[in-house]
Amino acid sequence: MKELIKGNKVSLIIVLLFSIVFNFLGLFFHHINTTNDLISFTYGYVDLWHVNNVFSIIRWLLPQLILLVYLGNYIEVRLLKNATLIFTRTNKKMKILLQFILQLLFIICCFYLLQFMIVLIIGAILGLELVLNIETMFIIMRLILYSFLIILTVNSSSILFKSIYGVYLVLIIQLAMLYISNLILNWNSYFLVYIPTTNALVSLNDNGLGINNDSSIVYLLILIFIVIIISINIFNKKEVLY
Amino acid sequence: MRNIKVNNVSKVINGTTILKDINIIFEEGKIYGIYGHNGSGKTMLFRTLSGLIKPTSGTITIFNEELHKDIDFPRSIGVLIENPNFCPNYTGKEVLKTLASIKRIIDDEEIIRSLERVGLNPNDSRTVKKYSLGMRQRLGIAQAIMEKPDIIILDEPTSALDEDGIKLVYKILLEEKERGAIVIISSHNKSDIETLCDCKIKIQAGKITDMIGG
Repeated sequence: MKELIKGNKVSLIIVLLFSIVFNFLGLFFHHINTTNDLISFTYGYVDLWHVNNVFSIIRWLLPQLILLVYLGNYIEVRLLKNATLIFTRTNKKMKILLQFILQLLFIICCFYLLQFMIVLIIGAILGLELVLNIETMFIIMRLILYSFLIILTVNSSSILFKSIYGVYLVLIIQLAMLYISNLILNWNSYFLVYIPTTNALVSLNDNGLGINNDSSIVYLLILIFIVIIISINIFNKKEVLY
Repeated sequence: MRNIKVNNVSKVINGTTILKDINIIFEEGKIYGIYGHNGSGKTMLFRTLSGLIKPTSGTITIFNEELHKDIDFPRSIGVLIENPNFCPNYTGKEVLKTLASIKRIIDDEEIIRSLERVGLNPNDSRTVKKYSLGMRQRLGIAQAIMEKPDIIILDEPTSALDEDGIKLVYKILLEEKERGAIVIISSHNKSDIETLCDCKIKIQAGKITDMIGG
């Protein structure tokens, strides 16, 4: 037990902080009167009358989780752990890092394009009317860019610490953003556009919340650009200790 | 004579002194053996010489160019430090080809020759993840020598190797020395140091405590 705690100190701290923050949010913003209510709030419950909402968010999250498992440690394993072999041959750190980032974008594009092809094939088998327009393009672009932002954040964080902590980070941030979106929805929906998670949620863009396709994509591109600039800066300063 | 001058080099990480006032000159055509306990600073010295980390104080001059001032890393160096994490789904030849594509100074024939020199079959279709520890070590040595670098730094080059493998590594290092390279190795195996090295350097708690030859 002692060894388990010692080896996973950071994970434990993250989980504890996460629980504390969410429990407090629950106490402040929801009508929670008993500890039973708090437990079910903390660990989640499924309202079977609205189970479609759960499936909807799972369908949105699942491709991200698959990509996180598959690509979460892409830069850590291929670049950072081979840094000695690479950076005794070139000092073009920025160029090499950008190459890896582009590879990530390419793999994510292939992943989603393959999925969309399968969706179209299933649609054709079911005899659905084929509608491909600019709206479809925006949906695809938004999904690809948002997944890229998530994967990029995890991979960039692996320059500083283990990639698994980056996975924790993006999952917690995403959950927190959804939660915050829910809280401010009743207050002022205008701000929803500035919350990346809400901004990238496909169906929300049809709900008349003021999130339009152009600004959504520009916003995601700006966030991606910022993450890339921060990564390059950290990477250039980092010593190769692997 | 071309050389590497290490002048009063110290390295402190998070308040811990890893290297302390290292002074040494490495000359071409010689093999230097560095020995010491685990955590004595051997690997950190290798990383510092390779330009991978910056000394907290002191200077390293490689062939009259100061590291981190005139150059970011040595212009011609082959390094094997600890266990490299080669792309697991590549064959040995593909790994070397990928690494060679960074500098683009050698062709396929030289890659094949490097694999043969370390006793690996260039036509082996197995991927690196199916390699034994010894085969990975041989591949690590192959990548360090394939571009015929002026400086060769090998951390524990004979670890995980069988008797034939060790003899092969000795032969390769002596050939590289004959070619005029500066060869620096570390080893826990005393016979590696005694058989091969022109200069034996003992490092303890980040300090050079003994130097014989050189």
